[in-house]
Amino acid sequence: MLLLLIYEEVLMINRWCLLASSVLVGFILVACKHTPEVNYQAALLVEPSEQSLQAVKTAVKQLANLPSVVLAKSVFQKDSWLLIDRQQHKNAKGQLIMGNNTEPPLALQLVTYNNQCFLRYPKADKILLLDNVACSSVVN
Amino acid sequence: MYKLSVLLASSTVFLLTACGGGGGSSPKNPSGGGTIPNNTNNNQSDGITWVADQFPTASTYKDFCAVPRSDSNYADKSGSKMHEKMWLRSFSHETYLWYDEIIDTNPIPFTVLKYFDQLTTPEVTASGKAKDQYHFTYDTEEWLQSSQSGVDQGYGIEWIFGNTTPPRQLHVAFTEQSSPAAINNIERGSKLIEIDGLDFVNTNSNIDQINEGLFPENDNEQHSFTFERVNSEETYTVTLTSQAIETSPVYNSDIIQTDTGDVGYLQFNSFIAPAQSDLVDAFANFSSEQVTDLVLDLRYNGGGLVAMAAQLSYMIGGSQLADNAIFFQSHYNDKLGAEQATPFYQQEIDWNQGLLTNNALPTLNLNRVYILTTDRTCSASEGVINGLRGADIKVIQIGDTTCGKPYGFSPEENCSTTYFTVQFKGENDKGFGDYADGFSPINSLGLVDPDALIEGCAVNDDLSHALGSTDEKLLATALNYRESLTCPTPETSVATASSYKGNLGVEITPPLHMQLLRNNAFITDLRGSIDD
Repeated sequence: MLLLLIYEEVLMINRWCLLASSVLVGFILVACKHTPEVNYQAALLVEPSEQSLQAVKTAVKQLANLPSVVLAKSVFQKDSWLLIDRQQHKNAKGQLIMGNNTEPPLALQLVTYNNQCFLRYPKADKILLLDNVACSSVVN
Repeated sequence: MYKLSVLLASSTVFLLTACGGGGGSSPKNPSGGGTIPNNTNNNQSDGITWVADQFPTASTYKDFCAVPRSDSNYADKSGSKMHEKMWLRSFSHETYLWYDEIIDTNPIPFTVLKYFDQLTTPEVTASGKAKDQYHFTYDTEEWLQSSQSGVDQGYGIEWIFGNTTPPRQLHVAFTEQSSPAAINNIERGSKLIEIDGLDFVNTNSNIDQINEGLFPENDNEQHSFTFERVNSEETYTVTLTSQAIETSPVYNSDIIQTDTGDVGYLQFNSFIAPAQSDLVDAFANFSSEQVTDLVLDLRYNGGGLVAMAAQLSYMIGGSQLADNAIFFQSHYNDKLGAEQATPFYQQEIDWNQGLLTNNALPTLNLNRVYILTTDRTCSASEGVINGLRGADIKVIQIGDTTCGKPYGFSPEENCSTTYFTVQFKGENDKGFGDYADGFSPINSLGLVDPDALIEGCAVNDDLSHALGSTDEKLLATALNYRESLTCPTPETSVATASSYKGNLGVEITPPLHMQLLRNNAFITDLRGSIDD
């Protein structure tokens, strides 16, 4: 099942930082700047079940705000990155509509931290925790 | 590292747009049918008045919808169909490439989509085809349907449509490796006869069932298919189970030995990001094997990423490309004024980060290339032909006339519909981009654009031989032309879905709203077409 927690990836503001914010705005800017970012590692799925693949699919749709997405069964098992295109829509003559396409694909990455798996969407600075999904770090 | 050039997003396009406005001349009559009264009552609807040749900014009407969505992802507000039509009118006036050729018609009598349909240029090409053949709408929810890059739902069959009405013709172009279709030995050229026992060729009923069989939307859908083998009356039946298919854009890569040197052969089917590594590997191999020529098979390549077309072209031409040549120059209308130049990218692209890397692409440094084409060779594929010619690389075209699509869009969403109106034209380094009738080999029969004729041979696609076989007619012709500079006698082009004008029976034609296999034609009941 997909955990509903959404983190803002860069703004990992800790409690200390929040407390400080009520005292001195100038101070918190410095303090937050030096708050270490979580060191996510690129990851691959480990022996994914149908349920975990479904959880990944649901997370992709949620992060990228897509009504539907088709994923390969091998998703995140060869590469920590996932590129998403619009489906190959055609015009009334069967020709690819975006045949001269300058829109790059969406890119999402499977990452791990503290033995948990996350799906991150760098373009939107969003990350989702994937519950009950097994993954392991990989050099990518 | 340099940020990749990316087409201006629609919102940016609007920022660049000059506001409308203009004179107050009398309304023009669209197509000669009837006159348009110029009185206030007939020009006003829902409190909005249409005044000919006066164009408020599109933002005035944006997101005012007859049926606003409650979804917080959209900014819909309560409005009317007149708001939606007036937005289309101003949007077209601001961004359409040929905005000054649109006849400003009173929107009141039209439905929203019918009004959009006529917001185009009425002009025609040299061959008599409509100058603008690329004017579309999609239901936004369907337009947003997505897939992992290079992954399609289906069986792994690439179809070719012939006749779209009875007697229908649907053939197998090829099957994806390791797909259910390949595992079941479905052969190139096979003609579809039945689906689930239904007569595919002649039926005028059961269209929904045929659609479901041809275009499964989910995994594990099972359907039976009966095919007739190519050049035979022998039939065979297989049961296929649908799944998400990982396609292979670099479908064939081979080196053909000849008495006059090794020739590289590359069949490339789609300009998608995952194709880059296989393309690089193929060209690195061609380079290390010192091929002296390249046959690039783009017969089923309908286009995709322009940046990848630029990379491919660089890998062909390399040092032979004219100095400082631009691959693809996008031209917008004079209001937008924005131009986007795509160079011949010489490095790999990190598509995960959207960055140009420092990894140099391999290159063959060829001053000529043989390109295999059909009418399904479209858009970015045609961009390769045009871009190379613009940089003084000789292109020798073997096959059929290409589709003729030097245009592109920035899709714009409004009130649940996504609109596509031509906003830019791509030109090569010599400023040529007028090939709306397609590129044709110089000995082609029939109506062709004399300005887009290319050295080479007109040859119909050969479904009776495997792709990549030196017996296959297009490849064989390329190899023969390379040796002898002679062509076989040209044949008349076969009928295709794009040119067939049959009107008997239920027509098979691509629907406006399907999310299907790449480069398919589709089956639908036209009575179900979208309108308001």
